[in-house]
Amino acid sequence: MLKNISLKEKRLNFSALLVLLVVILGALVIVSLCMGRFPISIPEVIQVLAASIFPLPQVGDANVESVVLTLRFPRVVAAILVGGSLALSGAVYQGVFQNPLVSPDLLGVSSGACVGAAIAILIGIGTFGIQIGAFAGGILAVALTTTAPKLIKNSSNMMLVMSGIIVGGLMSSIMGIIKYIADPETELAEITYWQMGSIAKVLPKSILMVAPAMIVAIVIIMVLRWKINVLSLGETEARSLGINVKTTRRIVIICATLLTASSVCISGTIGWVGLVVPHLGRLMVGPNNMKLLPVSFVLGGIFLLIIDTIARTITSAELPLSILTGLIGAPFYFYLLKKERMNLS
Amino acid sequence: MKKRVLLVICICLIMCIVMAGCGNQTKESESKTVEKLTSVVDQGGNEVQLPETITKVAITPIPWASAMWTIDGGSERIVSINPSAMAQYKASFMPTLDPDFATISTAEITKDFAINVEALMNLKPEIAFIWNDQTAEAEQLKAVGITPVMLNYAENLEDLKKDLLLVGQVLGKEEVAEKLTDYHTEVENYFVDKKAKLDTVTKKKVLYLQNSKLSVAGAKNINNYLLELTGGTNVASGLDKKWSEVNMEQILEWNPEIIYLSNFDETMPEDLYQNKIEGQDWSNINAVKNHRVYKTPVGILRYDAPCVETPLMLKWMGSIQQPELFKDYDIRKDLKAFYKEFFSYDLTDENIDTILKVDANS
Amino acid sequence: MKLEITELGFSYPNGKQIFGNVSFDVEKGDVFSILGPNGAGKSTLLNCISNLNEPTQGAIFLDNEKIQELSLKIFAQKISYVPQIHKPTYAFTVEEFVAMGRTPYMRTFRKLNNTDDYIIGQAMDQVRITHLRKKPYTQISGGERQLVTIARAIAQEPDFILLDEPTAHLDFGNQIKTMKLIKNLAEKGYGIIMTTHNPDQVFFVGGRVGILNKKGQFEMGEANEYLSEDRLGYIYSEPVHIFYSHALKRNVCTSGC
Repeated sequence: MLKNISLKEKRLNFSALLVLLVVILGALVIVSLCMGRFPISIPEVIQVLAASIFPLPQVGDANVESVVLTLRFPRVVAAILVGGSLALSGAVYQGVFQNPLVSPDLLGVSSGACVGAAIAILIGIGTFGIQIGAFAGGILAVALTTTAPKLIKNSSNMMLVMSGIIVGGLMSSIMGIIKYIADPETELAEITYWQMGSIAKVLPKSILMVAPAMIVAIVIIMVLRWKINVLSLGETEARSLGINVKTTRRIVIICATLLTASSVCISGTIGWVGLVVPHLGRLMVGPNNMKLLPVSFVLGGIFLLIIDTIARTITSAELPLSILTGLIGAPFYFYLLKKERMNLS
Repeated sequence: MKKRVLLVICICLIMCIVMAGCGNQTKESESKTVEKLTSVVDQGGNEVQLPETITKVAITPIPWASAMWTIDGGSERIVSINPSAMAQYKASFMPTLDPDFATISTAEITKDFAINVEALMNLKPEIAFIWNDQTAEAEQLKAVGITPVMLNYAENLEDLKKDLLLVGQVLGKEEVAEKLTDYHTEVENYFVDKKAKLDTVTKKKVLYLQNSKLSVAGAKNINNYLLELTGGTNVASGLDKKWSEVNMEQILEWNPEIIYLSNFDETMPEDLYQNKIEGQDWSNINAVKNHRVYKTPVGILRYDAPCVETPLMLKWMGSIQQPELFKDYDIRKDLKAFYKEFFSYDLTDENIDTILKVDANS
Repeated sequence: MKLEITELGFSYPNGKQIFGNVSFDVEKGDVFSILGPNGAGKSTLLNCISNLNEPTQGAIFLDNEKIQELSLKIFAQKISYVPQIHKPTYAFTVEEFVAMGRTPYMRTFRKLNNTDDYIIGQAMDQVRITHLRKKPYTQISGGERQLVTIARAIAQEPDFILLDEPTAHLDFGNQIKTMKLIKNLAEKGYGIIMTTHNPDQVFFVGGRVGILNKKGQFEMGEANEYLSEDRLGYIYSEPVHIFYSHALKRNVCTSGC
């Protein structure tokens, strides 16, 4: 009986936790909107926000309004969407591949999407084309990564990770070729932007372009999260429980890849979020995807929002996000591995 | 369809401006007052509404810090530039002309042209010059009331002049810009006119070396155009890029008669003469055997990039490649005149030696 | 409710036949054991019946309907499958794991309701693991894990439960516990098909037995009549001793030397 209680306390009450996380996220949004190199007081930010929702007079200084609404707000939204999506797709990949070691970056999906986006930039086919290119590249990468273990007839966790490393390496070589071909004065800067990861340039319209695809993918994943649980038991068991494994798996992987590719479109490749955040989520609510997926999304949003706020305020120049996610993510992942004492066989 | 409409609008606008410019010129002779332009079409094809007064300007492209300084006649209005532009300033002759330029802020723009818009706002510039591929930054700047003006990375003198004139129009310094572009046209025409004569002489085989990693100027590099106009042939013109890395064997095969060393790194003619670069053997190259390796000049900016002093680069190359053919000008005299005219500065002989790197090139 | 296996055969794509001509039927409340030495293809046969592998000859009918023609969902509502125990990847709690037995009844937007919770609770009670319900599935013993998997199968509310070597990897005590549970399930009306390599377990659970030898031939009969010392000795190529225990009131099978 005692044991029961202690376990219950360990895994917090799910709804309460989710509400708490959303409240924290909301508070961070306000804090982030108040921070920046251009000095704006907290009451002014609140006035701007209030005036944009209710029919109230706007702040006198037009610059204050545009800094909050056109510079900071899109970045806050982008950070939450990208962070949430990367964390969610990481959790989904870890579920369907029954492998807690994979993530969008380790499977090569991020770099594949990056290559796709870069090719689209080279051909010069506009924002929508870049989105399609990123998605195609991501799907190709995940297909390659999952095919290799089948060809070698070894389906261990390590083999999938190795295969991801192979595909990631291949993709970065292709990236090298593209950078070599690219015009160093114009296209190269844009392509480098994809690789470094930043949401400094994000515009409301580019979020609006990508958001519908993201939301559709998120909704489908949330609807299928029970099935993702069952898939995480393995192919045979999932089938014996009445799941059409191939179709369901395909849909889920496509949605997760769509999320990663859409994030790449907004921000370029940002490492670590998709690997670390799902582990943190599992530590809080356990592996049940019914709880883990919503929690991962919110945690991912919180994580990247904090990172991006640091990136744009710590110096007057912009810091690439991957530097910060790596600096925070890598040691944190080490801590998690130690704490979970994960069985990696 | 949309693009075509846009193009028609652009052409109309350009025509209007050209006509307005012509109109202004005729007016100028009558009365010296030039009407201030209220809008221009920039090199991104956008019609830009100009602010009434421009007191502060930010510049992300590297070469355009010195170009704006030239056209505006000083650095008072420049508030923020690319850190790379500041590094180049320090390596150039400009500190002698304007030591105050060193105090311009470089914290708001990164080397890869990213702008921290909020940080820039604190400096309150009315205008920001940016490259024409920085469309996202343009929208952000517009949103906070900073007018973006797009420039184009010129691959030839025609595009370069368009950029220079645009800067002049925006700053209300059309006169200076026109005087400068007139000089560009005049010098280019001088060489174009000599084309027939050039065809009668053997052209010199030239290699334009960017750095000791053996990156060379290919067909898309402006220097390819400049050195071919002045009686050379680019041995690397088969490479369809601005810069490409090649290997030593390829250079041996080309066996150039003249080698230019850019100011992108510190490699000096002496390094080649004495074969100091590890893993490379220059001793059998004609240019090295005949002591014909030259470090390119650095004026207010390195001459390797298309900018204000590009006509002087033409004259310098001409005097090296075909001194017989181009003996009707004196590069030192013309340099002196250019500095007097545009920077109001009397160059001493030592100054000229510094700019032309006479020590390294003798 | 009747599960009918008719002239079933399975060969690899390279033509190598694993077994052929397997025919038998099972009704609710029956126990059918599949006995055979290692590598005889017991698991492949069970996988065919569980609709996990497609047989190359013959067919399986559930109440006169070919099982391939049933949707996976309907099939899972009638027949549940208990795999050999394995090390799971994620630390689901026992309760969450058993709840996954409700998958065949889930629809897109439906969450677990009170009925589901009741069935899950009943399933855990039936195999006596309720005290483990909040424990991570990764941190319980192998025997407990086998019980949990059986509870999940019960939560599927099936007519038939198929078990693949349910006592493999279990210690002696847990083997007995599991066999008792299986016998109990049959008494409660579930049709049971299980594979095993231990003839004594067949005597323990009773019912019929099918023997798959290494040549892929299949024979069957009532356990007590059909399993003789000669037959088993032939299959395993080692002497086997069978005797009737008055204390246990059943046949017992041990090694013959």
